[in-house]
Amino acid sequence: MESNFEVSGKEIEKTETRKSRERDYLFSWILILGSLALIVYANLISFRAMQLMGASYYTAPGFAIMFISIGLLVMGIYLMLVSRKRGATLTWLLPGRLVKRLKEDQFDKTLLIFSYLGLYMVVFFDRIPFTRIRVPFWLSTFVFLYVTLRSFKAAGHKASLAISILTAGLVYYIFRYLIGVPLP
Amino acid sequence: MGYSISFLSTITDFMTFSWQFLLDPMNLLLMFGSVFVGLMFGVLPGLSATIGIALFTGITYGFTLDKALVILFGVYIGAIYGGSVSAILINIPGTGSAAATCLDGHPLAMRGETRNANILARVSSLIGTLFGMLIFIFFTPIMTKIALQFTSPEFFWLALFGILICGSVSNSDVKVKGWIAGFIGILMAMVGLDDIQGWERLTFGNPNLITGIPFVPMTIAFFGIPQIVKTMKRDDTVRIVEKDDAESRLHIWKLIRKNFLNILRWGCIGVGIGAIPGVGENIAAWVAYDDAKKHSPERSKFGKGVYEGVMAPETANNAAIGGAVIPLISLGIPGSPPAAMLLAALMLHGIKVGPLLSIEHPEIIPELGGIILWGTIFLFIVGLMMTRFMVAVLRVSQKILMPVIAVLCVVGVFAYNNNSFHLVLVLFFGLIGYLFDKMGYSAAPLILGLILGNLADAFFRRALYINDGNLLSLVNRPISVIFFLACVFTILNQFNLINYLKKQLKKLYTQVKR
Repeated sequence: MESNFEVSGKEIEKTETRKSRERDYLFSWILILGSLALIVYANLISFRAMQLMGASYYTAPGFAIMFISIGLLVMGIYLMLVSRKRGATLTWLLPGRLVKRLKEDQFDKTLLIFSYLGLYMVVFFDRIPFTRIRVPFWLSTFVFLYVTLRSFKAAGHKASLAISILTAGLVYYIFRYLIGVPLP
Repeated sequence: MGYSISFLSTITDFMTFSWQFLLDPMNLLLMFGSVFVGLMFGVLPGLSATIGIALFTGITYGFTLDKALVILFGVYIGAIYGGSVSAILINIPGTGSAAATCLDGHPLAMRGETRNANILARVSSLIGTLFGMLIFIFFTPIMTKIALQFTSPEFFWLALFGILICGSVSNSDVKVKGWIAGFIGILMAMVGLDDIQGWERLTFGNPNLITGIPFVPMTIAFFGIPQIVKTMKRDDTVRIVEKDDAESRLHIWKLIRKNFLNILRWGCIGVGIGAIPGVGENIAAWVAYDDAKKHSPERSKFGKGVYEGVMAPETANNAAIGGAVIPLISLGIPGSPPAAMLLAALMLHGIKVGPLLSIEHPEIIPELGGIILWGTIFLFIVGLMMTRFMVAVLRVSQKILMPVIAVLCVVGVFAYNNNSFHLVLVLFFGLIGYLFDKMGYSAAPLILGLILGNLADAFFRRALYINDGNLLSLVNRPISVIFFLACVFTILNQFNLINYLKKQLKKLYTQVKR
C-alpha cells in the first residue's frame, strides 16, 4: 500500500508534468508565429541585398536566418503536436486561472528579484531613477545586498549588515585596486 | 634523420629549460602568483582568460621576455581551470570554456561531491594541459600543416558539427528542446552586422545591437540569473552537505585507468580544435563532452552528475591551450581569443611570431613547453590549496551566497566592456533564461548555438561566394568530406537511426542466412 507521502509526491509530479505540457503548448505557438515572422523578414532582407548588392540567394544575409527559422517552425509544430497529444490546452491563460497559476508559481517573488536586480543595475551604471542622484558603487551594492538578504529572509539583521558591508568593500577593493576596473 | 635530431635537441632543450626554471626562485614566485590570479579571473563570472591576459600584458612590459611569458601563461592556465570552479560550485561558468562543465559538475556538487568534482576538474586539467604541451613541443610542424588545410568549407562543417551537438547536451523529456534552444542561440548569434556584406540583421533599428549580442554577458544571463532567482525563491535555506563516507570517496587513479583511451581522445579533440585558428577551447570542451556521452554506457545519466561529464570538457579545454599556441607560434595566427591576447603581448615584447620564429628564436618552443609544464604543476598545487576553501563556500547558505553572486555578475558584465547596454541585455535575457529553465530548456545548447551560429553562417556563405554558389564545393576536399560524414553520423545518432539501421541489417542478414 502506498503511503500518504508517496501519493502526494506523485500528485505534485503529475501537476508539474501537466503544467510543463501547457507551457510547451503556449511556447510552441510563440515559436510557430515567431518563426513565420522571421521567414518573412529573412526573405525581405535577402531580396533587398540581392537587388542592391547583387548577392545570390544562398549568399544573401537572410539565407541562414530563413534556414534556422524553418527549422524552428518544424520543431514548433512538432512540440505543439506532442503537447496537444498529451492533453495540453491554453485554458490556463484565462484571467481567473492565470492569477491562480501565477500565485502557485510564486510570481511575486520572481518579480521582486528581477525588480531588485534591475534597479541595482540602473543605479550601478546610471543614477537613481527619476532623479539626478548618482550613487557610488559601494553604497548601491551595500543597499542591494542588505535589502535582498532581508526581504528573502536569508539572514538576520546583524548578519545581513555584516555580509553587505564586507562584500561591498571587498568587491570594490579587488576590482578597483587589484584588477584595475574603474567602478562608479 | 634530420627530424630525429631536431626531436632529440628539442627534448634536451626542454629538459634544460625546465630545470633552469626551477633554479630561479623569482620564476617560481611569479608562476605561483600568476596562476592564482588567473584562477581568480576564471572563477569570477564575466572575467575571463582573455581579460586576464589583456590586463597583465601592460604589467609585463617592465619584465624580461621569459618572465613576461611566465606571468601570461600562468594567468592563461589558471583562468581556464578557474572557470570550472564556479561552474561546479554555483552552476555559473566562470569562463566560456567551462560552460560544458556545468552540466555534470554542478549536479555532482549538489549531490555532496564537490570535492570529487574539483579533484576531477583539476586532474583532468592537469592531464589536458600536459597533453597539449607535449603535442605543442613535438608536433608543431605537423599540426601547423594540418591546420593550414582548413578553408571555409572545413570551418563551416566544423561549426555545423558543433551545432549538431545541441540535441545531445539537453536532458529534457522532449528531445527536440535541445535543438530548439540551440537554434534560438544561432539566431541570437546573427544579430548585428553580418560578416560578409556588412548587412544589419535582427537589430530592429537599435544601434546598440549592431555589434551583436556578446557571449560573456549571455553566459551570465542564461546560467547566472536563473540560478539566482531559483535559489532566492525557495522557502527553505539551501545548504549543500558534503559527503564524507567511504562510498563517496573518489578513486581517481582507477577512474583514469578506466578512461585512459577516452582521455587520450579528449586530449586529441582539445589540441586539434585548439590548433584550428580562431576556434578555441570553448568548442573543444563541448565536442569532448558530446564524445564522452556518445562513448559512455551510462548515456542517460549524463547531466545528472557523471564523472566523465566533468573529465571530458576539462581535459579538452586545457589541452586546447597547447593547441592554440601552435598556430600562434608557427604562423602568427592565434588559435583562440586568449591566444590572440598572447600574440599582442609577444609583439609588445618585440617578438615577431610566424614561420621564421623557430629559426630566429629556436629556444622559444622548448621554453614555452617548460613554462606550460610548470604552470600545470603550480595549477595543481594552487587548486589543491583551494579545495578546502571551495567546500567551505558551499557550506554557506545558498540564499546568502546568491545575492553576492548577483553583485559579482553585474560587476563582471561591467568589467567586460564597460557598456550599460550589456546590463540591459543581461536582465532581459536573464528573464528569458529563467522562463526557459522553467520550461525545461537547457542553457547549454543555446550558448553553443551563440558561439557557433555566426561562424557557420559566415563560412558557409564565404565558401559559396568563392565557388560561385556551387554547393558541391562544400564537400570536394578530403577534410571537408570527413567533417560532412561526422555531421551525418551525429544526426543519425541523435535520432537513434544508427541502432535502427543496425537492427534492420541484422534482420536482413538472418533472413538471408536462412
